Amino acid sequence: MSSFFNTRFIINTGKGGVGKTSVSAAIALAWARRGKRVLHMQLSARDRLGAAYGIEPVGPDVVPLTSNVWAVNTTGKDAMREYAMMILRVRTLYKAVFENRVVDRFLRVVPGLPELTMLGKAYWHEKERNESGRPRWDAVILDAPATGHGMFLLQIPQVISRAVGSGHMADEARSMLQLLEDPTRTCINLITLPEETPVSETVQLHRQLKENFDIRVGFLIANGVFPYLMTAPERSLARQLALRQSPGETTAQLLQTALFRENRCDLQRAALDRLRRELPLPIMEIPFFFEPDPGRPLFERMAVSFSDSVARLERS
Amino acid sequence: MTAVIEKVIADAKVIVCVGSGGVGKTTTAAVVAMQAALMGRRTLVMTVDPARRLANALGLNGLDEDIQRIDLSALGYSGPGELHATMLDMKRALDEIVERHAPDIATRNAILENQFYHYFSTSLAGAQELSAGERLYHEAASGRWELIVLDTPPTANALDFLDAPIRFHEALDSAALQWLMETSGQAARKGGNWLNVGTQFMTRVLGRFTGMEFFQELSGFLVHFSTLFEGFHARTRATAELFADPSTAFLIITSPDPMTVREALYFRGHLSSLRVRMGALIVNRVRRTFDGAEAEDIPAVVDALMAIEGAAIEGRATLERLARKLVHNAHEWDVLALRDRQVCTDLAAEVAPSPVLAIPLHAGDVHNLELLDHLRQDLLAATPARR
Repeated sequence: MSSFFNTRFIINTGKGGVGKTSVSAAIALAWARRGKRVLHMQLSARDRLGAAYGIEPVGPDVVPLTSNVWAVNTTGKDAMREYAMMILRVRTLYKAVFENRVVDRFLRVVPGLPELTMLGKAYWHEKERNESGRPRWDAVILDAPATGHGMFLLQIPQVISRAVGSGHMADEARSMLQLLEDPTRTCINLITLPEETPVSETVQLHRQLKENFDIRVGFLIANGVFPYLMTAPERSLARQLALRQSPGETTAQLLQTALFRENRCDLQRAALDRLRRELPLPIMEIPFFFEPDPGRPLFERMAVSFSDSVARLERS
Repeated sequence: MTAVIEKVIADAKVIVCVGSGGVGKTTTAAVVAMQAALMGRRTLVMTVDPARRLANALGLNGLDEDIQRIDLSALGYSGPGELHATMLDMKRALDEIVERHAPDIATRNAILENQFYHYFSTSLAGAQELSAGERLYHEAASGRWELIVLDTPPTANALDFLDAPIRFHEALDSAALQWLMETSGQAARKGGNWLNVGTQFMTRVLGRFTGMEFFQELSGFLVHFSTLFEGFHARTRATAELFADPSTAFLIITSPDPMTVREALYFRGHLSSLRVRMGALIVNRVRRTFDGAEAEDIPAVVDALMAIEGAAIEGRATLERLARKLVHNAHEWDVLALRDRQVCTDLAAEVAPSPVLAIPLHAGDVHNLELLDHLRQDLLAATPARR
């Protein structure tokens, strides 16, 4: 198996709310720390990175986030415009056709077209070369939409290359499929929280991936894993003390809050055990960090943890 | 005193829950519906999330398209209110639309067997959302329910379903349709030239864009699909009107995570522009702040622990180690709890006069009716966050 840090096209997916964007940002920083240039690509109507880095919302133009990390965010509409411009090459022609009211409305309901062009843009970035002919990016990290929509997105090249014999779109779809199915260039990471519902969805997602795609699964990433506070004897002591009469409200509250955390850790461990039982994949755990805002400091801490885990998993 | 949520429920016939993925939207929808039932209303909750745990929490083995009644007697309730639940199966809902509205069997089969339909029926731009709206309308029009609580699909943009009817109308309005029919007609006649020059030109350019074969297949399909709209038109408009009706209230659900909150604010802006009625903004999983200055004082905590009956036997050293950890934990906890409180305060200022309700964080998943009832009591007890 090729090392993670040789994989050029990295797709991150998972249920809504599991921290796909934070994990993607951390992975981007982990690459950057190795002196590699990386593009973090979001496919979202609402950019999440700009605010985290204290800059304007990231849009369809590539912008630098920090040393060696760039970002871009594209929507179906933007990607379609860029794609059409690339094919048609003439702006007036584009304006005449694509800005026509009827055509515009038609294109908005064409199934799969926005997704194909968004994926096409990611594909194009993977291929992008600088003036000296070398790849512009060492890695493109695709911060993919939540599970259902993400699966649909990945399915598009397959569907179109099967359904359509010829034409630009069919050719594009076939090249994209080649990229997706190339285990040396591409992998998909499944991101989850160590909790009941996200774990169920991850198990389901993995099954769907195996059934429908020939794509290499990289890491199973459990995000936000709480570290236990106490040792087992301390935990049982705290539980006993909490049951007895406490002289002060503060102490009672301290005990309750600590036990709340330990209970949560227990539940998370149970969820992780279930993942381990049901999926034949190594699990990478990213701890929960007590940072109030999703921003650079949080992503840096996650990146260190991610890099260490990659090194550990690839050694074993 | 009447709780905010009681007032929202009392004034509404339909409550729509919107929010990003993973914020507890489905659970909140169930809790709101449960409260409505306990207030004596005959209530239906329509969920899109197949999460087994929620079904279990409601005392069901599973949820499907069938409407099932939830037994509230376990909560000691014996009033006239009823709680019913159903799950929206998007694929089946769209098939039903086709079956119900296709003008004839040939068209129906042409659509159901079309490969585009097969691949895209669950994600045909807006079709999922359209089916959710259709089902909502169907139940609302049935007159069976005093209140319907709708949990919305987890789409890329959680508000897509509000625009879906409009988008479909625009895309397949008469001008667009006529153009499509001419185009696919041209395909059938292999270049028949009754088309005006403009259309021929467009077709050629689009053909270059997508490939002619793809374009023709697709327009053929869309022309078939558009026949559904003859009967469908009035219903989608009625659905859009139902969303805008003053008896429909929207709840925006979020977590205190700043990324999610920004999205909630975006939803809120979008909803205001649609002039729908905002019920409340609900922030789930809010940590209570510690706020105890004496919690920082380790010797005082050790003394307090020593004073607990039977604790002294553990020895001061052990209790001191424990005290350090307790204080450390309180400190970490407060980093987040203070953030959560700030988020709620900021939100309240931002969305006034809509109320912001903070629901406290619980340790585990909600997996039985009793825990769902705890959340319901939290929701009742939530006083609007102050600016």
